Amino acid sequence: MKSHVYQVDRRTLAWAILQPILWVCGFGLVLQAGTRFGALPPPTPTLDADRTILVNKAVASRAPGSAEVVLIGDSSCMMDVSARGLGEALPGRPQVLNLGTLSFLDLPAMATLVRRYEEANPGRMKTLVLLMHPEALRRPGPSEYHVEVLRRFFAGSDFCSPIGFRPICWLGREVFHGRIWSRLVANPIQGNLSVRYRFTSDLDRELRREAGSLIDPGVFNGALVRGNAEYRLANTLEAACGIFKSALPNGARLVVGMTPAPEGFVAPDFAATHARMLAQLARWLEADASLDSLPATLPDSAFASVTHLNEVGREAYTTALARALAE
Amino acid sequence: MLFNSTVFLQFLAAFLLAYFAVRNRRGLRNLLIIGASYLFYGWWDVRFLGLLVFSSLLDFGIGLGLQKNRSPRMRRFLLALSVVGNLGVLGFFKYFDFFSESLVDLLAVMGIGATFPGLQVVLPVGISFYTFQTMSYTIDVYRGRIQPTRSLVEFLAYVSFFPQLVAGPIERAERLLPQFARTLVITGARIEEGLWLCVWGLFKKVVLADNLAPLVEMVYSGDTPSGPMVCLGTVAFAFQIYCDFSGYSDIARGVARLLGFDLMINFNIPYGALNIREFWRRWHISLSTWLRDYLYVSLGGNRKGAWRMALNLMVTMVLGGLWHGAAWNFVLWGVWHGLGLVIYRFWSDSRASADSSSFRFVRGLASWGMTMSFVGYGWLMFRSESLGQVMALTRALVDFSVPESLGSFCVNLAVFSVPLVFMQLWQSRTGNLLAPMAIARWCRSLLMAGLLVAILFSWEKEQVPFLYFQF
Repeated sequence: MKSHVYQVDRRTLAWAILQPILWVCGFGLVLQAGTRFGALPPPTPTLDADRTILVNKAVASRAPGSAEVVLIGDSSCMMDVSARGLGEALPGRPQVLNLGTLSFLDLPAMATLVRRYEEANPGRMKTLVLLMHPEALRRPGPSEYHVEVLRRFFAGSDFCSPIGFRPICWLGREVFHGRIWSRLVANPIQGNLSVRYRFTSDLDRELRREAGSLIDPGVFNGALVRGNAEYRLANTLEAACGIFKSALPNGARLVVGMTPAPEGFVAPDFAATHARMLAQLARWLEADASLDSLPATLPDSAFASVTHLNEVGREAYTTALARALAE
Repeated sequence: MLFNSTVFLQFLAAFLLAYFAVRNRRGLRNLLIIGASYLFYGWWDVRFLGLLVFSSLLDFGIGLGLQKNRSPRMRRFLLALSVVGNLGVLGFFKYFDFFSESLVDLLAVMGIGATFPGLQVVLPVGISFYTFQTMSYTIDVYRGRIQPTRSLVEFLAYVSFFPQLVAGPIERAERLLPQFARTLVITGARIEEGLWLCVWGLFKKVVLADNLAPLVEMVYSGDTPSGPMVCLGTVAFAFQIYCDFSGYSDIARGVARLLGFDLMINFNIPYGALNIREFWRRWHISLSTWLRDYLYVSLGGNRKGAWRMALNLMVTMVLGGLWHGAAWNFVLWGVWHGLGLVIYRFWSDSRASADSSSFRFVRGLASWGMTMSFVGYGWLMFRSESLGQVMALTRALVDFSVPESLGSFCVNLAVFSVPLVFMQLWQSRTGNLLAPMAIARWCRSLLMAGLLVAILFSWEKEQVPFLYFQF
């Protein structure tokens, strides 16, 4: 007995299915052509917190500015130091720019930001302060995705993550998101930062207002945190230090420091490890000075997470950094 | 297997090919549907299949038993067996921990310290939907509305039919079961309608609901926001839950249509309702009619006087609220809607009809505004994670401070709700839920292409489950 009967004009049905697909392909072609012929604005993929931070720092690095002190490093550099507060606390009240980004970037990627700043503001930078958290220093390598986002932004090209379904990239998904959507609509931020910064526009505004610094709104609870506190320098770091050092402008001095870890999280002998790591890092970077007087640990109450200070901790640490830089 | 996943698209493509191959064998078709549906359902957890099979066999057997036995006592016993069996499974998996925790809390209030180990039972996906579906079969057989089927294969296919298995529509045997017994006709127009429903449903879920979700999360998690944010967050949730759930129903209807089946309309422009009664005639129609026919009517409906009718309405709505989830805020939501329906019932009965008035439009607008405010506050209760949060958000409504992010919030809300509003206005004006099928083909193709682009551009590797899966 028949289950079902198809009463279908095959040509009509095929056309009904094909027509929308052709329109979709046409739309993709228009987007790609718009990119090819420069009809679309350059990409600004501020679509989530990470990419907003990277784009903001890249824009800040190539913008004309008057900062004499430039901070660079991982996210602890961005969260643990108030650039404005530091400028006010330093003798002569110099302008400070915080180019600290994310621990997903490695030193060569950070060196790109330093080079861009020097190209945009030749001879302006007097002091470059590299601040890294022990967590970032033991990372064996960068996140290729984040490095590529930064590289593509500087190159003015769209980056479609290789994780996704390729044909969607060919249809111009990233072209649309990075060049059109991100300029029209601010995206909601997910995760920890969303407690304080609701949308990518809030994050961008705060970064501009605070010369590149942010506040981590998290609450650190040492009892709940698990992790490996055996810190050491990654094997790959020595070669990366060489590349970073080559980006240092003539006449600028390089100062290197390590951001603190929570007292309750690290081993009792962490201060010695911290000093050893810092000394080795300074040697590899041939730094002009290392910030030995900065605290290796702070009380847990000063932290928002293992790697970031909270607002109160940031204020104390900024003061300590100003004192150490003035020495 | 989620409708909004790549694996489902692959599954559906393979299924459609196999379905085409068995077009001359009805028995094989139903076996294919059962096999595919069990694969679809077992994809979450193969152990859940046991419950589905149990529920199906229980009601199939009881259906036959009801046909054979003429003794009223025996028939009542069989019906009770079905109700107890189905509700027992549902109660154990869905409500055991809730009721045991509530009992411990109650004893604590009375000064009696007690501990009751929760079982932390995993809730099988879609259990609330298919237990109601199978139960309706035995009740209808008991009431003599339908004849029981003698085909186990057809019955298994009816209970497990994958397009509507995990989130409805809750189909009555009267409508769906006979479709498994006949030769289905699949026309070009039905395929086009099915494709449209699938694309529109997917758009509502992937583009609208999933992009509204972070806005809702912003308001309902973390610190208590200010009044304007509570209002906007609740509006966002109203759109999110509607797009999420009706999106699922549309895909279910669309897939069924591609196979030649007809599923009932589950949502009929509910946010266009002018009163709360009308809202419930348009929202989750398969559940509200189920509750009306099998609970409200069984309790006596409106046949035993006004106050008994009010009590019946309250009981129906409270149980309807509890059906959505084992938490007190769902009970509160049920009470809220029950009260709304009772008050509306008394008010509308006492009101003189004055529809010819020149103020009809203004009155309609006011009615709509009041109804939506009422429904909106209900959503606040529904979305809150505790009664404490309901209170906190209610208090926040009188805090008129405007946060810095309000502008971005409004832009996001507008972008992800305007397409739905336009479509609903179009459907409402034409009185046709398939309004786009009536326009020129090239125009429809262009519209469909726009939706497809939006779906493809919003498609995430990690799919967001449908909200109603947890119910």
